[in-house]
Amino acid sequence: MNAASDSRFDALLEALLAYARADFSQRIPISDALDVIDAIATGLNMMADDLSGAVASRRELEDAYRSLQEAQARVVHSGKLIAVGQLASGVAHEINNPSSWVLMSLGLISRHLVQLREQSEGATSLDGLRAALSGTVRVLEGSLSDALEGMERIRTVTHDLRTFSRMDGDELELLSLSEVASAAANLAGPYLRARARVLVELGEGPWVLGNRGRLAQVVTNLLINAAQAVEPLPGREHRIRLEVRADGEDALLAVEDSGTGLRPELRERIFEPFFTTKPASQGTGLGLSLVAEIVHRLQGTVQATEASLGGARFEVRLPRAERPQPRPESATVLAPRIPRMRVLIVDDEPNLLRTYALALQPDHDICVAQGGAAAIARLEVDRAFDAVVCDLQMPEIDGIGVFEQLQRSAPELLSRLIFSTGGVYQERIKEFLCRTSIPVLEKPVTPEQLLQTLLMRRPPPR
Amino acid sequence: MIHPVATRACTFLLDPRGFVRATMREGLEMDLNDAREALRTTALVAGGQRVPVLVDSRRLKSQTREARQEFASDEAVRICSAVALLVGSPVSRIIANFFLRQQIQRTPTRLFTDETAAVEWLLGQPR
Repeated sequence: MNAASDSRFDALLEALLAYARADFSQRIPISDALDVIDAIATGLNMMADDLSGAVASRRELEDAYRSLQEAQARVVHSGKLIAVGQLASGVAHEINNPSSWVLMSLGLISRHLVQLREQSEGATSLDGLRAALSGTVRVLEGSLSDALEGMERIRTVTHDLRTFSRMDGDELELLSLSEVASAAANLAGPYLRARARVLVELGEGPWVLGNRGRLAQVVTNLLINAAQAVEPLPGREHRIRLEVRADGEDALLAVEDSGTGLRPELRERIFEPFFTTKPASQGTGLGLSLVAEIVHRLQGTVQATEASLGGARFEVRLPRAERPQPRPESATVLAPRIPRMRVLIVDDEPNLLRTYALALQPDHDICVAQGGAAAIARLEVDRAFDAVVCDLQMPEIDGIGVFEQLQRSAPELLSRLIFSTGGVYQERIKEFLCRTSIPVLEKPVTPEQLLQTLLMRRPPPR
Repeated sequence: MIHPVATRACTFLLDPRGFVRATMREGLEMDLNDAREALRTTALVAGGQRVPVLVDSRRLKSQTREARQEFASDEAVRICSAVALLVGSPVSRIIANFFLRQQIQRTPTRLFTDETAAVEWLLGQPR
């Protein structure tokens, strides 16, 4: 071989090495000989052209795929908002009703206490005072009982709502499907009851590995779908049935209605995004596709069939998990007598501080600090507390700020710290809670719950 | 008398037997512009009729991917009813084979090393 052909082979080799590195930008010069070496070079050049084009097409595909994923995330998010929006008016109703009788009961209590004071000031005999007191106490007992029941109802609603605040996460936990279904059915209740009689049959457990918020979304979407499938007609009562039970290896969740049902040819298509049989004002075509997506992610199946009630039946099957072992009850919690404790309560809400103090003070020594800065100032001079209850979300210095200060200046108090919260919304606080083992009390808190938690954090007697 | 039409890349001639003969210049490195011009000129020479085309690519040196794609476009299918590719050098064979792979089934296309056989085949193709 001569020098000219050597250099042509070198060019071939160089290009081949570049192609091996997935660098398809090199082209091999073609000589005027148009011989076999040039033919090989031409073939390689043309392959490199095609491969560059394929790489570019792949990038375009990847971009398109990314755009689709973003669009899908937006669709999923709007689906969630639609579900929550549909529930919002029902939730307002569930809170407003008990709120109104709580307010009325408190007004009644206030009025009777004023009357009692006036009567006691004007009383001329002990018997007269006793009679006035007896009547007032009866009214107070009844009104207080009503107010407490109302607050309990509101607490249940807010607790159920928290289930929905976990819709964005993908964390899996062992949970009772019936419990999730119950929370979703409670929230959807007013929306459903306006259209049909609701039958709820919830079995024990069944336990599944899932995300609480997303499963609640599955139940809600199926219930809303059922409610929209029944046409409220005078003289006709529709029914919607929610059923959760164990079925062999599966946890079964079924929602059925007495509506018009689904034609067999639509039973597969009904889970496609944007496919809907409802009028535009009702159906976005997202609800059932989100159900299918969530269920499939949890290795489950969802199927539309004919309902015994006459309409459609949607059946979700998820793999059943083992029931979690119940935690052994702490001996301290069961102790019949609660020892006297010295507690610091930190919150930015003065009314709440006053109520805590009133509820606990007869039997315990309660100190309060309004806000994180006041708490830190107090703890610098006084650390003799059996427990510190600190709100997590406060302006300026929040619960994390107090925690960090204790870490620096009084680490011995960290084991006696308890956080309280009305709901964690900030990512920073969520992440913080994942990293620590400090117990968290979810407001509203009853005095009994507070005492039980305080007992658990109390240092052992010396 | 029919006159040939010359462009930067090829010379075009309407053969009295009813096909266009396109002869590529020696050492041609054909790009997209050349391909577009070649198609336009073929249509012009054929008077707007869909015609069989004999392409003499024996002296072609290279062809870009874009040019190759242009010859496989809908426009090319509209203009050419059949294509006989005359090849000679190893380079022209490689280029023609790449072209054939892309051309699948859209316009009848075959490679020839013999011009007489190419013309015979071309004249036998339906318009």
